[in-house]
Amino acid sequence: VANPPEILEGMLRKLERRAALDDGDRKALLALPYRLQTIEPAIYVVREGERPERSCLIVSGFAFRHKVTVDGARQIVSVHIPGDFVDLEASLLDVSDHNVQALTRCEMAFIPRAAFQALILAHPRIATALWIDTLIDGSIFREWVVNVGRRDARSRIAHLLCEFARRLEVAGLQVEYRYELPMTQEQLADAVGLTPVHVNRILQQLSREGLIERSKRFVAIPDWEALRRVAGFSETYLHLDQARPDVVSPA
Amino acid sequence: VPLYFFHIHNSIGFVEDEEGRELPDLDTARAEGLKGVRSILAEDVSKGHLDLDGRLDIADEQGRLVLTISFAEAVALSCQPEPRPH
Repeated sequence: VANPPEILEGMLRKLERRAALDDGDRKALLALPYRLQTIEPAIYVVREGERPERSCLIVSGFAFRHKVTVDGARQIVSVHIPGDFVDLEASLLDVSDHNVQALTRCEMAFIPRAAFQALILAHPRIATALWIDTLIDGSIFREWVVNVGRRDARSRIAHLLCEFARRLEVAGLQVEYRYELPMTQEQLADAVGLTPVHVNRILQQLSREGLIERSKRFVAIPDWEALRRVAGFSETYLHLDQARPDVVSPA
Repeated sequence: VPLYFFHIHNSIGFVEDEEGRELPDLDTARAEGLKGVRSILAEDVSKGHLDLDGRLDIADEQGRLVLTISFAEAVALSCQPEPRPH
């Protein structure tokens, strides 16, 4: 059964911001075999300790990666948006070292690990783009370590909100600094290493200061510069323009 | 699963919990409430002040107050000098 190629177009657009690709690369990417599946909120798509047979690409919806301590405390280590691979590691690493769960109802394309490995060997520019993609994931993880380790509660949450704003904007999912943040207080707390009660207090403090406006799960940022200053946010670590022609890229 | 709301009253005013959390029972809600209060106090202390006058009100889904935790009861204070033997 032939899969409609448009399902993979979000991934292609994203990888084209990672490295320059040619027509052959584009065709090969869109021809990847995949199985499309709807995943309900909170369902696990990867479990720590499993041997992965496939990588997952988010077509729509949000997912997150997390790890759990022996005491049962959960740390969310990243949040993923449409176009993101949630476990590109699985294409080369033999054992999953963290969990991946759907945050909202997701459509995910599951791509067999063997297909990825063949693609990488045949298409060096795609290999470069995928490598850059995992390097950028690593850069975002580094920033999150700084966030939970060294920023105070207010800056930590402000930083998370700034990061989502920019990533969603680049993915075409946010307009005018207003976006849906489909996370509960508990999930936000697990992403920033605070408690839900504390997160609620900080969110309301940011609202009172006029730095954010919230209604239900929507967040608006009326004064980007002001929130950016509170967060100490610099988007360098997101490497948003990695594939820009004036930036050194592989020939 | 019951839904509990955690409202904070302290020096910066009233912080309403509009979202609530599903928790198995009131004991768990109390434990979660205590953790929340302690994390707020811990950050206050890290900035050099501590305001124990606040309280956390836990309400059920119907908005009924089911438990209050005063900030002072969330921490065991030991700031008295040792009593001297006479």
